[in-house]
Amino acid sequence: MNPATYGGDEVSAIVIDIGTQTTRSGFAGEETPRSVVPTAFGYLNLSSSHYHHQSTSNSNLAGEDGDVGASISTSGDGDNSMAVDAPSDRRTPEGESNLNLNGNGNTNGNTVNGNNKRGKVEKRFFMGDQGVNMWREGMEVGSLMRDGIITDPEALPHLLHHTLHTSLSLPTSEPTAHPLLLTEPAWNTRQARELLAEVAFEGEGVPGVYIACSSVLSAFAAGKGTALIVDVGSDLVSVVPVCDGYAIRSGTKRQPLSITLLNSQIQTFLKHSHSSTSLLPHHLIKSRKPVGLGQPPQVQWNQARVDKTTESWKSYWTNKVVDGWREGCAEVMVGGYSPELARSKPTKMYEFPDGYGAQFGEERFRLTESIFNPEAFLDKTIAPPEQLYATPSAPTAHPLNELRGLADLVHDSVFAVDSDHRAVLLQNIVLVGGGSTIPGLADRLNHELSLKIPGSKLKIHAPGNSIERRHSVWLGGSILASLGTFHQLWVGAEEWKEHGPAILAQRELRL
Amino acid sequence: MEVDAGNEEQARTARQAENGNGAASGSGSVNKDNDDGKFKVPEREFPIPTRKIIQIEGRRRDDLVPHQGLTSSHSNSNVATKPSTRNQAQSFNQPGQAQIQAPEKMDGLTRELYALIGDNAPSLAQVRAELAGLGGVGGSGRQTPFQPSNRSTPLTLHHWRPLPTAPIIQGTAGKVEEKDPFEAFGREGNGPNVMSYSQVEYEAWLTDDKWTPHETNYLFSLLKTYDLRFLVVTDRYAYVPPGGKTGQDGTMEEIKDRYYTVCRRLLRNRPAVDEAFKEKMVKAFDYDIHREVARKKYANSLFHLTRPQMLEEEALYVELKRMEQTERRYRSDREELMRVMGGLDSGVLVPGEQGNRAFGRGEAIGVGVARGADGSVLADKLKKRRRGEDGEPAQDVDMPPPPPVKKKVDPMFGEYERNNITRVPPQPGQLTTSRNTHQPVYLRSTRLPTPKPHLATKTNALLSQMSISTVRLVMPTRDNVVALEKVIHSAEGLVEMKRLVDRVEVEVRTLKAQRDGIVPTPAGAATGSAAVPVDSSGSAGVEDLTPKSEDGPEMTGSVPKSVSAQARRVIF
Repeated sequence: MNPATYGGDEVSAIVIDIGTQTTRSGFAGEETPRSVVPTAFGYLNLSSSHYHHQSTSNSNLAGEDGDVGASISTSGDGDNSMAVDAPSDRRTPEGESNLNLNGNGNTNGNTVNGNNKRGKVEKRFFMGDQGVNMWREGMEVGSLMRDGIITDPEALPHLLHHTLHTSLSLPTSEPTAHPLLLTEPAWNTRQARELLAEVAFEGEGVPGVYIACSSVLSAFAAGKGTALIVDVGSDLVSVVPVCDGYAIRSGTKRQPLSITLLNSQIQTFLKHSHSSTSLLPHHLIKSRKPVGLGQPPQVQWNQARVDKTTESWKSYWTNKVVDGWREGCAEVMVGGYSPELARSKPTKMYEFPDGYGAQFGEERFRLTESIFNPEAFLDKTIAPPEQLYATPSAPTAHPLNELRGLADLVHDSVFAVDSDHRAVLLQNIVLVGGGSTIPGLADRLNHELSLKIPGSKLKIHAPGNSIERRHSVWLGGSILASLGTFHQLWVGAEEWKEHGPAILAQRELRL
Repeated sequence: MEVDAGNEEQARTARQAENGNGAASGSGSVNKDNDDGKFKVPEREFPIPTRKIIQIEGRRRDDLVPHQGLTSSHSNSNVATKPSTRNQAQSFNQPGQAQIQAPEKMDGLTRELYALIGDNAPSLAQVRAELAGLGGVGGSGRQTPFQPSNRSTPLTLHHWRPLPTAPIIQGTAGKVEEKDPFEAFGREGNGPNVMSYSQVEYEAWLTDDKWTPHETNYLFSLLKTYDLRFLVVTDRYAYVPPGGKTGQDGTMEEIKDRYYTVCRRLLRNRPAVDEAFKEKMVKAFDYDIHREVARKKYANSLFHLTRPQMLEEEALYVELKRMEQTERRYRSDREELMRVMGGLDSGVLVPGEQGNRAFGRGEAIGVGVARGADGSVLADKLKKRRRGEDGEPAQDVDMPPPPPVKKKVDPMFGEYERNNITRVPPQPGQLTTSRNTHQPVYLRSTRLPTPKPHLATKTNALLSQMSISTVRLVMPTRDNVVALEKVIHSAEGLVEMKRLVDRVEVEVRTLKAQRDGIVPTPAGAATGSAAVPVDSSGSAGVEDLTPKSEDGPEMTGSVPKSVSAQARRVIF
């Protein structure tokens, strides 16, 4: 519904939830985010890729025919399409781009200048849907987040700029009148929070900023003030107790046993058992012919592209292809994995982008079992993706070598909280995150928890609506920022100027 | 288009919905349907077009259908809200009658219908009406800057406000809406009161070995920040001592203990008007840290009960329930049996005790409190019943209720006396058969016949004169008991007789004296007040004459022979 006609308390606040996988943005008071774009971004090292840059248009034009994914935008002016999402002016040489960044916002300019002084290569960023999702010659894929925390001060301004002005189509010319609600995990560091606020205030010149805890927002989205938020994200699984709208940090548990790790296991399995598939995306395919089930694919590769594809882009997209298989096939057995039972379940057919198709049966259940039983089912010989090593060893975090089952994690979290509050938490378990949509996961969690904590009443609230499940943090932010009482909490631009980052610590949610 | 009268409006609405072009076209079609074709709408129909416009704005026929029925059947009931009516009035080109008051309250069947819809599903018509009130779905608005009133520092936010549309309604609308357009943004949350103290108060009352003033201040600031949510305060507690670097944790119990102790001391020491209220407040802040720690420990252990333990507990509970049930069934069966076999009382005394013993066994195997409580209740019941069994027969058999006898006999005596009739008290009958119900077994020696209580002293005196003991029999055979009973009975008869004789003699003497004129005749002998002197004189006479009457040897002389003979028979 149109916020202008409906929202009672709306102030046209913008809610941006930067997740590991996707960044959701939209106006407060709405029920779905306006835009959901990948958080990962593409970049070119300008000085080094200059020559590639020049030749790109040629190669693009040459290899146009078989191009499935990027053909729309690469036709005609190759240069233009490449920089379409970069905040800097298009079609300008590198030096001018730098100038433009300086003109655009202080932070951007500072960042780039600083980099220049340190002698780093200058980068050209491609954010949003048409960033990583498009093939570009020599484009690397970067990630903004490590351990759920924003760690890349260089790309963040670009992401924010892209979100505000491309995804939400706000005009760049006039100063914005929209306050900005941003999210952070319960274990966020002070530096990351201050970086976020700094970019928002000084890069985008927003009138007000508030940084809310994502778990609290998930609880609000479920309509609860007290809840145990089980967030199965892309890199991390986190369990955060929320009491009266405050995340209880001492009860927080997180570990990198989630979709990314699962996908790396799946990828290895697919490579071993179905070695004929390439797991490469359609961007690199020129043409393909249909083949029978289990037959090696007959595909003609777009060799010009394959040769100039970077490793990071390739692994990003391989992961996406594998994730497609995961979304299509993977399931969790409610009563625990047993080979006999898994074999008796119906098989599923899945076809990869290169045309290879096969029936998948028992492995659909075996691979996901590692979420609940990492000791027995997680193949330790497979090297986990590099970004998962960022999680430290702490009372509230399990690194890769101390992984626990999901139910154990929930159990530990609940029992880290004072005994008087446990019953309420156990009756308000909220399952959110894109990873939680694996069929059977909620039932399995319920089953295991009821075995672990037999004496207590359990209730798992798992929204059936996929949007509510995936974007629960954004939804909670949308609710929060449209409340009249909330407006006292905005950190105003003047306060920021006066007090600096210290003001952030003083503003915690109080309703 | 041909439509019958009943469906006319409905059809019209539908047609407008087809037109679907907002107010102007809607009003146009209404006019067309009117006979004269002028821009005039019958007053009766005003509310209806209002609704129609609202519906038309939806531009979806399927949205309209359920509400059209409503409209057509109640053309005069107004469902639409105020502002839309105003807009409507304007669009109908009747500036003079623009201020049409659409009643806010629905009545009649319409209201009932809306009540049926309930809270959860707002009617589409209502929602659209509200939207129209906000300036219409397609209405234009403006971002109006404002500053939320609940902020300490200024911050300018923007809110979409509908632009005032029509000059006619602007006056009223402006007045109504401009009261506090941004009130909703200024609401403040108010938490509970956290006590505070001054430096002087701290030094006087609040010093504590474990807590420095600095840390106490820190604690209270945290409590204030988090509105006394101890869980959150415990989570965020990271006290950094003035010289130190790392934060220190505190347990929730310590934090609570400190807070409540401070509150108690403050309340106790601060002067208060109402002492009782003060005491109550101090009580309200009671906190026993040791008990609390023990309680949490216990709660934790409950949470960590393993599955076998839970199962064991459950099994024990089921066992307990089962035993209770068996017990109850057993008892009721037995009672039933006893009643059938020989009356209720014959067996219950002993089985009742058995029941108690069964409970004792139950407790010994540790079945639990419920059983114990239940057992005690049952035991009480049994005790009560036993007491009743003991008491009732005793009353009935051994001492036949004296008060009714007295009450019955006394007035009768008056009559008999007047008629010169002398009666002995009625035969008490067989001592053992006064009740129809079955008598429990008893030893004969425990129920020896005793004289009637009101005659007991005189009868006992008489019997002791004859050296007969009423308390014990050497050989309480059946015959002996019967004989003793007879002896006592005869003695009682004698005593009673003698008393009556004495009384009659006194009366005769009194009457003689009255006849002789020695004593004045009472005026109203029948009245109670007049009876007093007679009684007093009578009693005085009795007192006077008793020695004489006791001396009378003939009365007793003849009877004792038989009595003593009987007695002798009883004893030997």
